[in-house]
Amino acid sequence: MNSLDEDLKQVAVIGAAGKMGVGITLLLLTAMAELGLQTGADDFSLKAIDPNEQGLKDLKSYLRKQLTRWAEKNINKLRRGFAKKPHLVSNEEMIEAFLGSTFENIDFGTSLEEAKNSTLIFEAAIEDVEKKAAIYKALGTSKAFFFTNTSSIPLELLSERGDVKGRLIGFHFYNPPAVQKLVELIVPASINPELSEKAGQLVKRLNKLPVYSADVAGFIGNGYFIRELKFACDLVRTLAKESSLEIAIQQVNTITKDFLLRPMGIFQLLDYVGVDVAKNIFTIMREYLPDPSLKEPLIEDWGSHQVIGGQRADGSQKDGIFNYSSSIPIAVFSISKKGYIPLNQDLSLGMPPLGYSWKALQKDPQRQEKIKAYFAVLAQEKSLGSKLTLSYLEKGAAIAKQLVADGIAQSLDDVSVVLKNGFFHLYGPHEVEAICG
Amino acid sequence: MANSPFRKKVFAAAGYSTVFMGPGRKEFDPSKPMRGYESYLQETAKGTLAQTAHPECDEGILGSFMSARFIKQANLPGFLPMMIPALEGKACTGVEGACGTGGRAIAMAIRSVLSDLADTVFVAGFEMQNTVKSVYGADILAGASYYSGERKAGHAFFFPGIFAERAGAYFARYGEKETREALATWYQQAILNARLNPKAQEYHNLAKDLLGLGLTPPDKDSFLPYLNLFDCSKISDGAASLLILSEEGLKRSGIPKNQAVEIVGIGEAVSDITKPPEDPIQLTTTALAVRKALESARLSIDKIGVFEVHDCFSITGLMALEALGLAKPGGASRFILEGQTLKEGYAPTNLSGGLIGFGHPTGASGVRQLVDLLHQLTGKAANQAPLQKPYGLMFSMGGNDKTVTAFVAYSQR
Repeated sequence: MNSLDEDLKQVAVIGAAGKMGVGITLLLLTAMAELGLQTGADDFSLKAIDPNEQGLKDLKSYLRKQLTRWAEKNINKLRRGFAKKPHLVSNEEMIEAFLGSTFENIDFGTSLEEAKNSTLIFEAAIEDVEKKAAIYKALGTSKAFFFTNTSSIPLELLSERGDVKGRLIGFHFYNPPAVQKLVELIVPASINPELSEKAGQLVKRLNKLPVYSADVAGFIGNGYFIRELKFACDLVRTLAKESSLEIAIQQVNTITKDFLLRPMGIFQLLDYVGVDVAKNIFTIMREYLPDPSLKEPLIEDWGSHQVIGGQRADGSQKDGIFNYSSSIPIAVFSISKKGYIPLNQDLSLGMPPLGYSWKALQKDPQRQEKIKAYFAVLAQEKSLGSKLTLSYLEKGAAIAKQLVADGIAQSLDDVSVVLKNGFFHLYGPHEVEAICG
Repeated sequence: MANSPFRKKVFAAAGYSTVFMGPGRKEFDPSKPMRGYESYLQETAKGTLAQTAHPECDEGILGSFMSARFIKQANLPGFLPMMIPALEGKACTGVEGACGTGGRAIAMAIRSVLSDLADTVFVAGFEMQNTVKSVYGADILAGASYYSGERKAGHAFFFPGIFAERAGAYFARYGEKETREALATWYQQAILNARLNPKAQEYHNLAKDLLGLGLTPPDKDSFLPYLNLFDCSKISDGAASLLILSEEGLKRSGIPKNQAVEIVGIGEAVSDITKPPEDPIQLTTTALAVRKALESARLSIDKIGVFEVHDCFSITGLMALEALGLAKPGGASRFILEGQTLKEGYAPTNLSGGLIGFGHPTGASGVRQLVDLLHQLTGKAANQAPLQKPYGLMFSMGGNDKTVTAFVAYSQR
């Protein structure tokens, strides 16, 4: 078996110019370049492959900028690495030499062919079984190991369809890959143990926090998110009977942000992820779990009205369920009116107690005690907001427990790690349990 | 009472410093276009000239360490007529001595006055270090050492590494705990003094637990062994200037004598830059320069009432106290912890904030130090010491204790 160091000399990223591909490419490039500094062997090869030529140009500039910052920040590593090169004396000379040799080792291309000699191939292409399978089939004659960034498609299925049984593993990064510590590892039944071992080593090398998920559609992250989203939509329909869909959407969004102490409400999060992306994951989970109940009419409705969301290239939020100004919701889409209507000032929820916010609590070293106290007070309150929050919390805890019962997550702790890191939750489902009972 | 060692009296007057700008100041924003060096030069010249009725300088001297790299500008003499129109067509000189540039510039001005070539010499020092990111600035500043002999093996940020080694040797010899407390106290005093000085880079520093920050345990993985970030002076842009005058020049300037100081002692010492320090726990060249300055003024150290020492790092400030003879070898920590360097102490030191508190635009610091001594000895300082003795002492140091100039100034009040 090749050592990880040897394998890290010939790496390819398929879909390198995509939203996640860019970050995965940077992460791998940094690891390979740093290894080169440590070993003195800077002759690695990284293939960045994507059909989008302009995207590849943008990727190149992005990599140069980010790698320069990395080199400046890690100047000590460069100085150690170049200690035996007498002609490299100043920080500036070392940074230039490092960038120069690193960029000589990257090839940008639009053809899958270019990856044929790579030993580790990272696939971050579109979330589609056939498209992914086609990529593996095209490269399958090589002896490479494949790492897929799929967030929902079962690995055994992909391995079969792509003819790479045993040589494909799920290595699901969270956004942004260069910064976000969480990686979901999904090991299909037919895995070659060598790949399993390698993935474990790689996750450590990349300084990531691994959580193992069973090979079940949606894994832990989407397994939780999609089911919670379904509950949120069900709740919207229930509340809409008393008012309207538009008010109910705002109510549930507010509950899931201000009352649940999260960075964003569930529907703003849905806009962030992309309504079409979520719809696709619903479809994948419905078909491959299988679970016919995972069909969400609201998401279908939004889709048919071109309500999509997502981000622009500069990271700003595109309109979706909400209309945004500087990434802040200022209006909500009305399906009946086929357009945006202003947000309601009064949602009849009451106010969450104690005036806490996710933003302030995130930096607060005493947040655990404060959160406990907050929910204890909330449990006593009689407002509509408080009552809805408690039932939402109960449902969240139930979803998390079911993930463990179904063997998808090994423990509630693992679900907690995924929610706290991948979704920036401040507390995990079993912490909630103590309050809800 | 001192007798000046010179054949005629030499005075310093009309001192001025700009704000020393850099990380720490509220208005510092590297994402926006920053103030140009010409603006600093013009401001300091204006500030000096505003204090004299007679702007007709005979000579100009401009000191800067590495303008050729920081702002890609040399031929500095050519800027003096821009700063002082009366210097058009006159003798102007550029001076360099690393971080000790200011001291060398003043020393050259004194020579001109003593040689009767000039009655009024305008002296300025400046540096613009924020033109480059600090990781690259470190390479530039490393030119104050023996670059080809030392840079390669040196720390990424070079000079902190040099003085960290000295600190390590001092800790090994005299103990780390008390020395670390003294260094933290030095930092605390530097910032407290800077808070009283609107021109200081650390003027806006409102951190609550300064001593705690100074006690931050050094981290050799993220920075250095032995020294933390608070032990280091920061990256600065700034300028300072004053006039060096003969008695005749002083009369012509209209500046009252009690607004000037007489330079009654000078000590200059330079050591072979290619050789390592004689003793890492002593500032040998500084001690020599200060001894010469005191001898030339026929004074002992106990006659000096106020001090400006070159504390590029807290350990440098601490070792300086021993080099000056204020504390015996190994006694500097105690001296600091007893409060002897405070305004009310035996040896009021760096009441301007010093290099750590005021900032350290390398070419300007030496001039800025004499400006601050001038203010102290004429009763004009923002953080005024109750002067028990009419003498002030400063030393300006270049590199790792290689290029040192010391002055004794005498109040005319």
